[in-house]
Amino acid sequence: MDEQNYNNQNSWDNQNYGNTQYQGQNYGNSQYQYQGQNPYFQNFEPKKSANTVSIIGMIFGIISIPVSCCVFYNLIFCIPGLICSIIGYRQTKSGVSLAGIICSIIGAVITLIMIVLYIIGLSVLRGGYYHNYFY
Amino acid sequence: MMKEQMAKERIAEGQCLERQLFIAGLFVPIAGLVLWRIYSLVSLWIPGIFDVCLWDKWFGIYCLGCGGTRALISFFTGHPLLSLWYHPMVFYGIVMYLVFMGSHAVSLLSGGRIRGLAFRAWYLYGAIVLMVLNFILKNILRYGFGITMK
Repeated sequence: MDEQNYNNQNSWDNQNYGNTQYQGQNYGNSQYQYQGQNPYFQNFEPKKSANTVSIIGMIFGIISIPVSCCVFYNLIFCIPGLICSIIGYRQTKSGVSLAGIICSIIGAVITLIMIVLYIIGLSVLRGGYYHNYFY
Repeated sequence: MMKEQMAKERIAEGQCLERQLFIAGLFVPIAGLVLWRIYSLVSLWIPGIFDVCLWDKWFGIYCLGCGGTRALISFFTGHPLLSLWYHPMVFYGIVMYLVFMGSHAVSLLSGGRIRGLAFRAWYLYGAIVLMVLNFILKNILRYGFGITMK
């Protein structure tokens, strides 16, 4: 009797709750299979929104571009801008943080060019001040 | 129902972001004063370093930031339209900052009954567009029509 009940339980388990029965046959559409993804959220995936660090990074990055002609002064903007944008990108992977990284890099590159030109200008100068050569 | 819940979560997230930006924005005047002081000290230490744009001197064209300092000075000495002419991005940035901070200050004082300006990414992208357009337009006016900023 017990053995029969056990056997019946086995057959009940295999027929109604086996994985093979649920996977393809009941719903007929692979989109609705529960394979670690909730089907209700597939069409409602939230946008990657920026966080405060990303926005601050992008603001610094934007400011670093026009300030880049001020040579060393721009280091105040492009370095924090790059750091904040990279941190923001790691956290959110948003477009704002990526734009902040790009703007900070552009500002840093222009600043480096200006520093090189400034050093070349100083090396050409013979014992005078900056404004003697550039005016 | 899921969609509504996600929309509510997104609104709450946005309000939290705006509140954080408001708090960060409270430090901008202090930071601005410190940067202005550093700028003045560097000008004293290296006389004339900021008087001419190196980019203009070496390459013959206005840089992306030409007119920025004049725009700042004009705005804070009561000439906003002159500030707009010198560098529209500076004028735009100051106005957006004042509007954002003002609206959120009102929101805070009203206990949340009046909603402050929502942050949108295009506010920042618009600044980049203004900067690039200003650069192109100023150089066209200079070399096409002989109109300079001086």
